[in-house]
Amino acid sequence: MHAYQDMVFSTAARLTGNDAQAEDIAQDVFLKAYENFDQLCSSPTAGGWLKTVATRLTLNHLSRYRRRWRFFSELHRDDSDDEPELEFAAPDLTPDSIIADIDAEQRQTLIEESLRQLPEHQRVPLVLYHFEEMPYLDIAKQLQVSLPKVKTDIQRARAALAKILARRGLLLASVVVN
Amino acid sequence: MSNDPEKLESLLGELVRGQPLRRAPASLEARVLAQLALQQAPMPWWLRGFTHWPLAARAAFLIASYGFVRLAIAGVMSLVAFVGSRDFAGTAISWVHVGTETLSAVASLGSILVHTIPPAWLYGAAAFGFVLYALLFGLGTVAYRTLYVQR
Repeated sequence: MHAYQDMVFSTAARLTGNDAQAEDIAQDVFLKAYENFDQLCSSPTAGGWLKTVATRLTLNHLSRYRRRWRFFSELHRDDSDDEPELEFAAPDLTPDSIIADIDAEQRQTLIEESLRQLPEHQRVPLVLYHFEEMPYLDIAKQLQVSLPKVKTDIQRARAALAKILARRGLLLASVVVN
Repeated sequence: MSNDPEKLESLLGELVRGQPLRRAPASLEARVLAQLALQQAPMPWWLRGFTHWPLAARAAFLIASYGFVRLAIAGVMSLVAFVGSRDFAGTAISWVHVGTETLSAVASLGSILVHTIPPAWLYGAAAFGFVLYALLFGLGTVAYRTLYVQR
């Protein structure tokens, strides 16, 4: 459990954006792992199994939560395209030179906090793609939405996250009003 | 080059790559172990199957069940006997009479009230109720969005 608890918790915390819910989900994941202890203890793919179960349980949790609060949640759904655009200082710069030079711990905190600010319908596919390295098609299947919608949500999520990171000084870019 | 999707993708890929895992709370392990201990604790006999009960408990249960069945049969038999008697018919008719009288009185009172109150007042009360409902619903929504939803 020691070897995998951070991985399981991270997966749940990034997807839910809520540490208390992530801890509950991580607990369920390890209880399920205990039920399959005989197969898992000698399996080289135990880590993958735990990651898959953590992702599945988190998505189930979010889907239950979404159903319960569907009406209220959709009232504040905000996909507005009229937000100011992000402009990088120089288009030729490599990603390395756009990312501000700050220490790793501070960078992690900034990224995690910024992720939490994204709405769920953007954060979940973004985390699945960039953190869990899941292909678009698998994300669409997991979330039961169309492939174009997944791509659009992730694209919008990237733009929203980049704006938040730029405002907080992690990206050397400016938010400009067109 | 603003909002270039490819650039954003590679930028975020770069940012996320090598991002360390979040540290799990110290309480997680203790919670899991406590839950496992709870699941593995032996269940008390009364929560287990009948065959796992102590002999005395099984005997007491059978005796109590026999007594209950006897009591139920005696109850049904006496009920049948009472229904067949003349007393029951008289009692039942009087109860039905009282019930219909009460209902009729309540209906008359309601009818008088409805005819006494002007229709405008009734419509106004209905509209007021609807507005109050909408207001409370709106307040609930605003409270949920501002206090509960994490953005």
